[in-house]
Amino acid sequence: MAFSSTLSMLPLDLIREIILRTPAESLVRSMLKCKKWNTLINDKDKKFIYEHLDRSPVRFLRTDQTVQAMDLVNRTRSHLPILDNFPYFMSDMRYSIHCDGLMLCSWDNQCSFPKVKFTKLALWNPLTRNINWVEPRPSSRLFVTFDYYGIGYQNNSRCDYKILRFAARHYKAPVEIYECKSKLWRILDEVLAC
Amino acid sequence: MENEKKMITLKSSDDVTFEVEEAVVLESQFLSHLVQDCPAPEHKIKEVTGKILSKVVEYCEKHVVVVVDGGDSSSSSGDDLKKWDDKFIKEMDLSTVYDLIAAANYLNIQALLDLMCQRVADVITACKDHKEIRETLGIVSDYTAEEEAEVLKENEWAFD
Repeated sequence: MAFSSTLSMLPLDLIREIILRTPAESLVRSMLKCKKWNTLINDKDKKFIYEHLDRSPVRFLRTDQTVQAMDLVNRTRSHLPILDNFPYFMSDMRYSIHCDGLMLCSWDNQCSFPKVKFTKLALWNPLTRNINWVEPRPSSRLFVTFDYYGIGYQNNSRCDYKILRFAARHYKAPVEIYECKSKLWRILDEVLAC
Repeated sequence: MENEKKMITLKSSDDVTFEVEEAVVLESQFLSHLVQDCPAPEHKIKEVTGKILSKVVEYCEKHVVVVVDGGDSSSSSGDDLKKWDDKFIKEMDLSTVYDLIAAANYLNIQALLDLMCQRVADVITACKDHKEIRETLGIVSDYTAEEEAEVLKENEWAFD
């Protein structure tokens, strides 16, 4: 018989078709299955991850003491456990904005100065539970509570997310952009007109 | 009258024959080209067994009938077709599903390929942990014991 009867015997491009249709939580769970699958998922240029993302339904992330990914159309929700050593409480999160399931979060620093509250900034992936702390530019001021942030990517280069930072009260403060790949800040030439 | 519906015979690798209308054959891109290029009354499909070809024919016959009858594809015929698809996959074991994936890919029937791949994805989704995924899908891990322990440690929560 020419055709296989086990999944492992199907050609890789067909296995790819199957796992493209499998929710991300199940894929993380299936990491241990085999190296071939891992190679498919973690391919060059992260092509698989973004194709998977584009096919996935839009979901809401709800953070409280736990994190839930909710699909309001199909009425399903999945719980994403938080790291045991997560340094801050979810409820203490000052704010969070997101892009492609990545959360840019800020927390008040616990040993903050009496008048100006310093904050910590992190890029957090609730699914893989990776958390990357973002440090300010060496010569720049620390992150404070009246900073505003944005997160996004340029054109289609989703492999390099960028964080925008500007100050609400410091009108002379430069507008800065952080590139997640190089972990470097740069100052935008144009200061906001308002 | 006989010319109205052109019949074509498909022969599986194990010599099981199926007589189907040409419209049914046209559901498959591969067979459409084959029929156009080679107007013989019988076509041997060496890559597909009779068991699997019967499923393919069953699927294509159902889908072709609905498209023709539905005309402007009313919503009820779409719902009926979905119900039929659900029943079609539920009665099937996984090894048949894998064979159908390979056959749908070979014969180039995109809707059937989609349906079957989604079926396996749903089975993976329903599994609680990596062990269940492995047992259900019959996957042999190619990790060494040390590598497995390392991945398990890194992703502990996912395997609870």
